Amino acid sequence: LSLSPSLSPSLSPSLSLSKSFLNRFYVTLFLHSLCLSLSLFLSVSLFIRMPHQYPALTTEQKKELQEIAERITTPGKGILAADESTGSMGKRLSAIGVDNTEENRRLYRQLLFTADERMDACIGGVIFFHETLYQSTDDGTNFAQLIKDRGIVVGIKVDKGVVPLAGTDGETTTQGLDGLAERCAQYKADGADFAKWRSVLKISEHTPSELAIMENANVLARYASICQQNGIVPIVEPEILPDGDHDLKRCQYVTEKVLAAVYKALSDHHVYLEGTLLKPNMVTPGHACSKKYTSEEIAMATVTALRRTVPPAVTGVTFLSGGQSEEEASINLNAINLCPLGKPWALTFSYGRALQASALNTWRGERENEKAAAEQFIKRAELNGLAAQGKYESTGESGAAGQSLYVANHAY
Amino acid sequence: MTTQFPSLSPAQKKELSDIAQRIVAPGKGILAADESTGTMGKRLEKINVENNEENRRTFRDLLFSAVDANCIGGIIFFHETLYQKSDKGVPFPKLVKDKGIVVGIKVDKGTAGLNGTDGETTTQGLDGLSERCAQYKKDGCDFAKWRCVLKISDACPSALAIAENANVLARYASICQQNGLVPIVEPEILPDGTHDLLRTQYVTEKVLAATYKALNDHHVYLEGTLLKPNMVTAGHSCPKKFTPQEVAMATVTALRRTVPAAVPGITFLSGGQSEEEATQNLNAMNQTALHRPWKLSFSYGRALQASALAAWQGKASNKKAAQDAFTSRAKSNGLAAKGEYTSTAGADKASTQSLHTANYVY
Repeated sequence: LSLSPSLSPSLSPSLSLSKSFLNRFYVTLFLHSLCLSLSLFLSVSLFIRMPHQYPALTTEQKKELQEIAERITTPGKGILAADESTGSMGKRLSAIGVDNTEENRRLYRQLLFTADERMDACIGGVIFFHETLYQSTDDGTNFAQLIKDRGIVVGIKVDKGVVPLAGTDGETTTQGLDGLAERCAQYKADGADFAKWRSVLKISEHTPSELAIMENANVLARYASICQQNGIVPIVEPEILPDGDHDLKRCQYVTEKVLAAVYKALSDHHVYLEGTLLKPNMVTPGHACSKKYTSEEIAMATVTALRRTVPPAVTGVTFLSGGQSEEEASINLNAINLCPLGKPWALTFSYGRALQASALNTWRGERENEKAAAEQFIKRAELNGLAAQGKYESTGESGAAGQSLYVANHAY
Repeated sequence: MTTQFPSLSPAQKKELSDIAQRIVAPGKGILAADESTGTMGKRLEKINVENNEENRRTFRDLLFSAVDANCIGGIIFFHETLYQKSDKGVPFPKLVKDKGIVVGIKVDKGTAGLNGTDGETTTQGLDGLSERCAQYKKDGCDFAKWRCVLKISDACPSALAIAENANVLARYASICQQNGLVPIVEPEILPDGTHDLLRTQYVTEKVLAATYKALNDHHVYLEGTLLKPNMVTAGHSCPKKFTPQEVAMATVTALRRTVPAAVPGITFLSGGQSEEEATQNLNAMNQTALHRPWKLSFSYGRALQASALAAWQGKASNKKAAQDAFTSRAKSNGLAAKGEYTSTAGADKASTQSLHTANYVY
């Protein structure tokens, strides 16, 4: 190796060979030791994959989150889900013959948000869509500020819709994690104290698949974790659609599996449960199921499923109304609150359609109908506030008929 | 896909649920008298009593004859004891059952090493478990117990230890329920070490989350189970001391974050705690301001028997004194299970109250 390059030509090929060989040897040696130290590092770090707590939140952060969650679910209060995306709002408006313009969307949300003080007693939080958070009343008051000044907590939908999961039977996950921390920080500065993210699952012969359950649970947990870092209470929404002909039992079973996965994921992601809310579907039969069930049966199946999966530390459960009518949604919520099983969390509403259907129908885009429309909304809000305490008296007959079909809880 | 293939009929579920409710009826807990032959040997050695079958029988007879059904809802037996008889020739299960106390049986076969870990273990005993459970049910048992063990150290518990023990507990629970036995699920995290209260709380939350996910995966009927966890305490060698109120708050918080409300009762193990400590801690738990949807009670071995053993010394003449000591501890723990225990040591009460950290967010 110390041979000088001025050696005889016969030697130089072998020299250069030796040189390159040595180079390769050194390189190999270097790579091997790199690999060795890498694998040592990896095995050590894998070996040290023990549960150490690296506090995700300070005491003050936890306190703030829990207080927000408690304020939203104060007894007798629930959530107005007014976060319909532009597209969804389009569907609602076209059904009443109104153009889907920014101004119409603003006028409609205004009539809800300026409803009189009766609203304050039964609405603990309002979920906004991004556009709405930056809109104002006719006299220039920002909507978020308006709601906040009424003592109602402002929330914001932060997901960016569903995307397909390749290799599944039309199942989806939900996107929106990119830059979510920065967005949450901005929303917090702009008045929001809670957020909502909707994941969707469906029941059919082969769904929900393990992948769909696991992936949606994981993305919900990532979202929740990021929210909490920014002082925002995450509402976790793993909706299982009511489409299908499956019965009540099937829905209950699926709901239990989905919620168990959700709470395992939340634990894995170190989410502070006391500073979260859950927005699940009620356990109901599929829309096309031939068998009919009473509200008591729905309540029993729902509460049983929750008792088996939702830790008591979760501050509140705010049900989605799905495809239920306004009346159905109130009756079922009431039955849920009257269910004789122990219920360690608040059980209330986070309704969109079930709070707004009549209001929309009454408004029909006319300014002179605003007061009457607001009245419809207030009426539903008050009734649901009562239902959230088990104090709702339905004018229908399902109450009496339902009692006779009551099934003891051990059968679920 | 998620379809339900029913593992239990409504009648089976009702039976299991009823048994569990009976065991943790208000003011009642469990006497863990399931010390294996080897473990019993350690207890007897301490009071200079020979570890033979007759002595073991005599001591259990002493306990079972005196046991008060007002504060003891269930007794866990060791296999040998299940087939022994009282002085008067009454089989122990019958003696206990006739008092209205539920008979339980330890069914695990001890720990086994997990290769590639830092001395961690899983628990064996699944082989032929179904047949054994069926036989135990015939012989008078209505619940079972299986103990898994985890430890806290720099590298433990590892993800493997947590996952493997959760899984084996879920398999055991599933098999028990098929045979009409209520499974007591015991994922014990040992108190050995220098770690503080927060570390134990954190580990307990991770372990219990994994346990309940596994139970769900294995389709276990939660209403027909009981949980036997460690209380959340600092490690034995931790220099910082914590009050019963702090232990209670950390424990109840951890349980609220992981144990579904469907579980009817949580019966704590006493681990290395003294009799008084175990009672005070249980009492404090039942007085915490946090909402507890499950019963919080006891499943104590040493914490119910230590004084009795010491009083007995293996002598027949000490039988009554030993029984009185046992009955006294049982009554105290029955009160603690309702949050109604008042310690006679006034100094203790004062000293613990002054160290209470109000509003500490765990």
